[in-house]
Amino acid sequence: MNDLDTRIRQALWAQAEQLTEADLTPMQPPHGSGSGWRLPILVAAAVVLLAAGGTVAIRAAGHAGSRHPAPPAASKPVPSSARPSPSGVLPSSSPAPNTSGKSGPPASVKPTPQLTGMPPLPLWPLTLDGRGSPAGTAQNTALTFTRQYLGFTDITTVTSSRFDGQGAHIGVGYRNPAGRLVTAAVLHLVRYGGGLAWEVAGTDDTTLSLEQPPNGTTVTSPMTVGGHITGVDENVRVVIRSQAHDGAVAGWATVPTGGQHTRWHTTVSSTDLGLLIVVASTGGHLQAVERFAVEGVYH
Amino acid sequence: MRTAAMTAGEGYAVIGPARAESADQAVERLYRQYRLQLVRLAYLQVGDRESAEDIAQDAFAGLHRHYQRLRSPEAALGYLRTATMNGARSALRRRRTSRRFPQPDESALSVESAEATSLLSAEHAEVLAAIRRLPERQREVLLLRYWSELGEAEIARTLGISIGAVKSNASRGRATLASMLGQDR
Repeated sequence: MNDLDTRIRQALWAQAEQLTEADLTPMQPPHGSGSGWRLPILVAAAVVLLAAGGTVAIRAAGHAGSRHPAPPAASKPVPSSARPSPSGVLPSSSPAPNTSGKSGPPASVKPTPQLTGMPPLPLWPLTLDGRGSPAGTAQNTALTFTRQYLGFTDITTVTSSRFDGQGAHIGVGYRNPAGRLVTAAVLHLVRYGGGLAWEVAGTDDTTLSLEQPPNGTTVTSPMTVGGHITGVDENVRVVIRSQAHDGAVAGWATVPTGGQHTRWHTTVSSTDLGLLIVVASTGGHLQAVERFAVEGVYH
Repeated sequence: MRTAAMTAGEGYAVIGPARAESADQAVERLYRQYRLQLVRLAYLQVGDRESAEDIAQDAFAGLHRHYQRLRSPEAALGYLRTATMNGARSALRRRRTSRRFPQPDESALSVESAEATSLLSAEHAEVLAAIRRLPERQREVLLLRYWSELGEAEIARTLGISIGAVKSNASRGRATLASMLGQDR
């Protein structure tokens, strides 16, 4: 082996070893009989419901273990469906497909007419009534939303950027005491206003997810808010922000939780009407806010 | 439609005897054992952790779907490696396509990648930059040779090319790197 071989090998190893087990997002290996049968069943259920004049908000079945599914990019604002479930199954909060018409969805969730594949719900900075101003690049929009709108000033930097057919997926986070960048959330942004602006549409599921009520649905108060979390000694804070009142806090709750992919949920009340942004966050180990997730619902 | 995982399986997919270990058990074991290695393999190609994690996860999902069609349990790692290489190649092609239709900030490099690069020594960064400029196939062959430590036959099987093609791509890749780095071969 000559010097060139050594240089190549050492450089590749140096880069590869930047990633350690601790850096990886906790995820589960694929299980079960596979997702091949789920998508056709869900599509068939949606078609049946549509034919019956019904409405449904479903999570598209991705492959087992997929983490970054998202609806296609928007060219104009239309209320969206929920993000696909990481496990590829219907969430407990989603209305079960049925054709009888006798049993409705859970009391706290009224599905908005929509289908998976519709554009995502624009949350910030522009609102459906045309207020707000573009915040620049996708990275700027993500960081400004996090620091200024949500007030999470502990989140100081963009940690990753990924662009695909669904828009932008921008990681925001902070540097831990060991000097490593830690991602607090991956914001999903879409093109808005004829492609002139980036608009926050929610967050991709990470180790803290927000699944109930499904993103883009219409809710009544009080509503059950929940998702999954992986972590120790966590305290999830849920804050409801009202877009009709420039993001003012319209309700809040906290719930202690923790564990490996543990289900968490709490009940929150809000009297504000219109578009509400639901924010779930945890922290307290290294800084006040270490992870968060957001979604939008109508009230 | 052919997916990367299905394509990956072609080199390994023949009907085999029933497994003593279920697909769930086998994939879970392989996941614990090889996930980091495969994420790193993808990371070396695409340069950001999240895409690399997605690619590795897709590889495991594909393995789970096709596990019963592997010719033997031992073929599973080969399948995973091939699926990871295919997934990374697809991700890079999607990025190239996206760059042909540039939007204002899509040309921005991943911040994570930029941060990561800054943590490497100048020597390593120079070599890695040169590797990134290699043609796709040469880069893949060198990656499997120098990082995965595979022999020519295994590289050929992983990439679905002949051993002769492995040799020629490795030779050309090394020659180009030597030239870019100003070093004797």
